[in-house]
Amino acid sequence: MDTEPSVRYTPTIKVATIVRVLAIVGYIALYVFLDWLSYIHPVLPVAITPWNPPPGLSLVFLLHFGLRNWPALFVAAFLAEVLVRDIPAPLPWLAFSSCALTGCYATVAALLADKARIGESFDNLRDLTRFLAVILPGALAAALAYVAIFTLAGLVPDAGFFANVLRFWVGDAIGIMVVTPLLLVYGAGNIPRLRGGWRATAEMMLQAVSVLLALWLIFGVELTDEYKFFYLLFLPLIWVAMRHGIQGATVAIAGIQLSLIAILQWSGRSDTEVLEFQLLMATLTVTGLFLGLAVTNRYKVEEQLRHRQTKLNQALRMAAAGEMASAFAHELNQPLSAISNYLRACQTMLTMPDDQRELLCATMDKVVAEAGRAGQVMQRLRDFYRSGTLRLERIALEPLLQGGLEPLIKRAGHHGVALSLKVATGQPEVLVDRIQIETVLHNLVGNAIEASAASKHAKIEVSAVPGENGEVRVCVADNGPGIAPEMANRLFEAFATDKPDGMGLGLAITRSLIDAHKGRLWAEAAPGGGACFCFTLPADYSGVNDHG
Amino acid sequence: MDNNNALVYIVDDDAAGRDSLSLLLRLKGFENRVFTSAEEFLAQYSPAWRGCLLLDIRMAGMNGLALQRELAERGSVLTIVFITAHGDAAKARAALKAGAVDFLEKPLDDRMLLAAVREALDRAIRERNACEARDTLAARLARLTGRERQVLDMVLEGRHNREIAAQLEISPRTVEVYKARMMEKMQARTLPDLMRSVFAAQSRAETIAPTH
Repeated sequence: MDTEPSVRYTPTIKVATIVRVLAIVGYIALYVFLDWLSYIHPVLPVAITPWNPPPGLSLVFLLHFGLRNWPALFVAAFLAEVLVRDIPAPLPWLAFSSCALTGCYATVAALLADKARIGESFDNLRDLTRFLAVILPGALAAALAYVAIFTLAGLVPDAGFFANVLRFWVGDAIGIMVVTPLLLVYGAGNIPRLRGGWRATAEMMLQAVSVLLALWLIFGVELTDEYKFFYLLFLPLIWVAMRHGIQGATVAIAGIQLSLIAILQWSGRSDTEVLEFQLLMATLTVTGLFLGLAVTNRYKVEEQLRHRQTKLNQALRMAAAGEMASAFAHELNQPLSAISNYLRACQTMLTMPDDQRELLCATMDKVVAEAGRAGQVMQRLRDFYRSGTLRLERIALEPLLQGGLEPLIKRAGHHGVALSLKVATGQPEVLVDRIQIETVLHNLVGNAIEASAASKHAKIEVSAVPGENGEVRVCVADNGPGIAPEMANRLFEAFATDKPDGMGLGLAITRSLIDAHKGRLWAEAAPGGGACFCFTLPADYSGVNDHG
Repeated sequence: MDNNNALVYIVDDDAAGRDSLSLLLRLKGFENRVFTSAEEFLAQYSPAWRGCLLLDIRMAGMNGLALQRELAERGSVLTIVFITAHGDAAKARAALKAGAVDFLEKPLDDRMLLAAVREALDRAIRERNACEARDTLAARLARLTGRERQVLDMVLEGRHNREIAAQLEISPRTVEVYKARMMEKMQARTLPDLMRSVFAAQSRAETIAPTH
């Protein structure tokens, strides 16, 4: 077999370039689409709209993909002018106005990225303050430039100059305030995990309903004055922000804005009325954003506090374990020392000229007694750990495993390890000490994270399937390097470890915990080449419907 | 060197520890007595006891270090070897600083144990000999008259009879007489004999404080 000298074809276009091109094209398309979508209540002939979200999109685009992509802004603005707005001005004027918008918003993006340091994240109150401090003057500058250009072109009467500037400013500013935070919060990789099951879902439904209810009270009921009752919208927004922080607030604000625009459009309001509502909406938006961020920050601080508390508890447990070990060593050393002394004495007797048989026998009895005493110390220790903590409860398998894995999800993510849980349907309840089984999972998954963290596409799969004799079998499989052959035999022995800072007690403790539950623990090679640790737990199928 | 009345005193609150130590040491030729606690030991203690103490550092009630302090206050000459089932560097240092001979950890290594006991007894015997020499010297010194004492001090300083006579303003002949009486009372036949007996007491400065 000869190996051909391979001249490998290296693609001249890199992946990053493709992504960039796609992003630019996508951005331009989305910009034009958004412009078309929000093309309502235009003040003709220059088409100034009361809600203009495309600049918000432009800012996110530049912040995310880099300021060097600014020419895309021009293309998008120009296309929108030509395709959507249909402004009766010669193309050079449209190019000029698009240039002005591009300049304004590229500057705003540069200030946000540089001075305000708003990049991918958007998560504290200072970010928001700086954000507003940059975008409000930025939008005003854009408004002045845009309206001035078309006034010069003779399309806008001089008399309406300031009214048009105000209209443009409000439309762009609120467009940015609604769109940019939303996209920054839900930007790449920031999508928060929604938790809590049906209760949380039900609450979110209720929140949506309450927004609709508020809108109906404001606009649907004839008796109420729309302006006076606008404050009703604050209530559901506060609710959402308090519960879901900035993630909830941005979504709620976008929802309210869209509904508001739809209602105003549908009920055929005058331009002035729409502008007035948009000013109210701006107040609502700023309030919602500040409240949402404040709540998110509070959650974050709470989380940090909890994390620190957990660490402290661990440290305390370690200290208590050290204290125990020390007391235990003392207890065990007493009989060992006596045994050693007695045996040396026996040796001495054997070297003596006269017969010491009787004393020898008596002394050896004492040795046996002391060995028994050492055994009792061990027994006491085992009893302490068992009877002291084994608190059995009947619990369904899936929540048990989920609870055990919950604290590990972050740690796995931190090491770039994907952690998944698969529980076969119809799994029984088990009678276990929840804390001990959580400890077992903590040890096994903790080991798996350490083992696989270095490998590419590291993943850990925790699965539960029915085992033999009505047991359930839980397996923790990783795709790390697997179990070293020289460790395989001593895996479950105490103090056997290949970790530089490990005690070698994890698996030994894990096995004794599983033993205490009358289960078994063993290791095998995972299908993918990593290690797989499995344990069984006695199951109770009485609560499971026998469907197959 | 007679260690006939030098004993090993074992103080350990662990019955098997006590019993096994006692047996092993007896077989190795060290006569010993056992005590179940520091309190029991103190209750029976007599200043006349000679030898060494094998002392468990961690005991219910009065612990080993406290007993060491108490004995030091009572002027005991017993040397101390500490044993412990619980390695504790801080306690070991405290014990050794307070004059313990050694600090052994359970389970005991018998060679180290025997070496420590031997050294402790040796030290105890040396101390006792020094102590006895001091007592003897003190007793002999007490029998000297003022003049004889003065002559002794000067002889120890290496003065000749004539110098002593000049200093004390007596005749050299009289110095001879005082010196002869002094040598007799000190039970020294020659000058080196005298020197040895004084230095053996090891604390010349205390015992033979200048009287002038």
